[in-house]
Amino acid sequence: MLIYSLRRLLEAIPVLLGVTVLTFLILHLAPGDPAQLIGGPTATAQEIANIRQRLQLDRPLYVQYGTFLWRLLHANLGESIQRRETVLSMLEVRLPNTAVLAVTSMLVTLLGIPLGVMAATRPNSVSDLLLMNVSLLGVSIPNFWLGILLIIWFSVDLGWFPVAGYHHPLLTLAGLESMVLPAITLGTGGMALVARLTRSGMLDVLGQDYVRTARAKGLPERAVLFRHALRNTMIPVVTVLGLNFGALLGGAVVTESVFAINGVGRLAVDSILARDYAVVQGSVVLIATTFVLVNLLVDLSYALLNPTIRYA
Amino acid sequence: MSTAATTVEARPRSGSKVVARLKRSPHFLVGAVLALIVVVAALAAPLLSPADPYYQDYAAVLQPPGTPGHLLGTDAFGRDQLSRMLYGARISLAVGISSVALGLLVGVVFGMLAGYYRRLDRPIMMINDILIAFPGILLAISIVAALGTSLLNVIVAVAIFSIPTFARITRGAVLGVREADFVASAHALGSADPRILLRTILPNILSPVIVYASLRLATSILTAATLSFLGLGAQPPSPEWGAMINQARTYLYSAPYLSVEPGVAIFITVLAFNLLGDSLRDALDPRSR
Repeated sequence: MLIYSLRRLLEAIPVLLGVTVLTFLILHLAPGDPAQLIGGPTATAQEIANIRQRLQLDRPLYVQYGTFLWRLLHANLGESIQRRETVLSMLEVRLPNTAVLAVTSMLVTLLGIPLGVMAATRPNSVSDLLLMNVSLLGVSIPNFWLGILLIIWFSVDLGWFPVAGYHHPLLTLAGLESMVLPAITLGTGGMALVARLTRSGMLDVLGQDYVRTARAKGLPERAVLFRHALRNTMIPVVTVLGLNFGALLGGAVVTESVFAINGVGRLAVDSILARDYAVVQGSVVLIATTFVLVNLLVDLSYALLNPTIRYA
Repeated sequence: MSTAATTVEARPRSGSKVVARLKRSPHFLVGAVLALIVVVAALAAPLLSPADPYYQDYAAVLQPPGTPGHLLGTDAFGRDQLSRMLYGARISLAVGISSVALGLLVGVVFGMLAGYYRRLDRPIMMINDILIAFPGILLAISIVAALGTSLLNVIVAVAIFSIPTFARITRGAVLGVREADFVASAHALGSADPRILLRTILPNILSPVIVYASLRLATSILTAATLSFLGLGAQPPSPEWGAMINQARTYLYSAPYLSVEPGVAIFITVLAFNLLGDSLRDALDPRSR
């Protein structure tokens, strides 16, 4: 297990390096002169030359990448051209909000597991068909639109939840209320997917001999379902949860914009619109790195879920 | 593994069996009807629209749905909402289809090269893994950030975001047939590699690719709408559905229908292609249900 963990960790390094190369290249090979963009339309030729020299834009691309990587390793992500603030400090302020959004949405997503188990215990019943058809709708609903619908119904019409933003401190009634709608918005798609996957996994497993044996020896149904059957359907579910975490991080970009949450995703979008490339680069690298690391954890969790898995 | 299995499974299954399965699937029927409505709306937009989607009537701003002459109401500029939504169907379908086609073309080429030539497998799949390491929408956003905000760039961004999965599915399918007898026969007959790839292998790996393309159409339409909603895609006054919802956010209190209506259109379109893709996959490979 230790060797496998180390090997997976080493394998993640080239992918992480690739992520930095890609992020760097996407923004540096873009059409247009970054120095001109930073200087603005009124900048003189001398000012543009100065910007180019200060940001090392006159150096070869590989040198620029090397500098970028070296700074990245020293947690130096550069400075925002819009706000004259370091990218790192901007991310530090916003990261906790994005983390809260990701964790609360993941909790909503996890509700898909009991729903899937419920549907599988009564296959083709009215509740099963209802649940599966509703989950199909859940997969197809655009999350930004769901967010707007929830705001219209629960904030504008009923006044139950705030329209926008997180209320700090979060561990108060107002704080918790402000987390509900964004979490439902971002977690619903994943919940629907997990419910469908858990149901089909459970249906496969419930016909197996060991489940019949567990029932024959008189175990309560709850123990049969959750201790014997569910555990064996968890590997594909955990895989999807890991992959879904990426969708969740991407979705955070949208949800933060809908609910005006001051997070990393919204920062990325605002920076793109303002052409503040250092901030875009920093946000993208942060989100993509988190995604790679979460997938690594998912891989490592397989062995814990199913000890029969042997890693060569 | 599963994609390879799908290919091998798909070959002996006759077309009529697949059609029979599709006919029995209620999801397919619902998906086909919904997709037909969207396609007809897009094609017949000039005939069905009661007004020019860009015509601003300042005497009739924010008219609610059901107003005579404006079945779905008007927006803040007095533009007819129904006409804008019908024209929006054209944009969504065009963006969805062209981005999937571009992603499929590039993804299948790279997937075939990786699956067929062992020495190309590792470098291509490494680039693929890096692309997959980006949460999809984030990759699309980064590409739009580099290329600039426009509908054309959204097509390119959504296509690039589709390439890794098309490449992965194609590679898996090619690996499944690369050592098959009919490929060995083609080699023995002296066929050149491009001919083997295009004439012998490609027809045998198409079914998982087509199934994925139909599912991808839903995701692509959704991603494009999301980018426009964020202000990174179609720009006002374009009647693109995501952009319409973005502009309608200011009127959540006074005219919530402006946000609801284009959202319903996106939802129905995405649902239609999800249902079609799901039922097509089930019909070609019943074990995947």
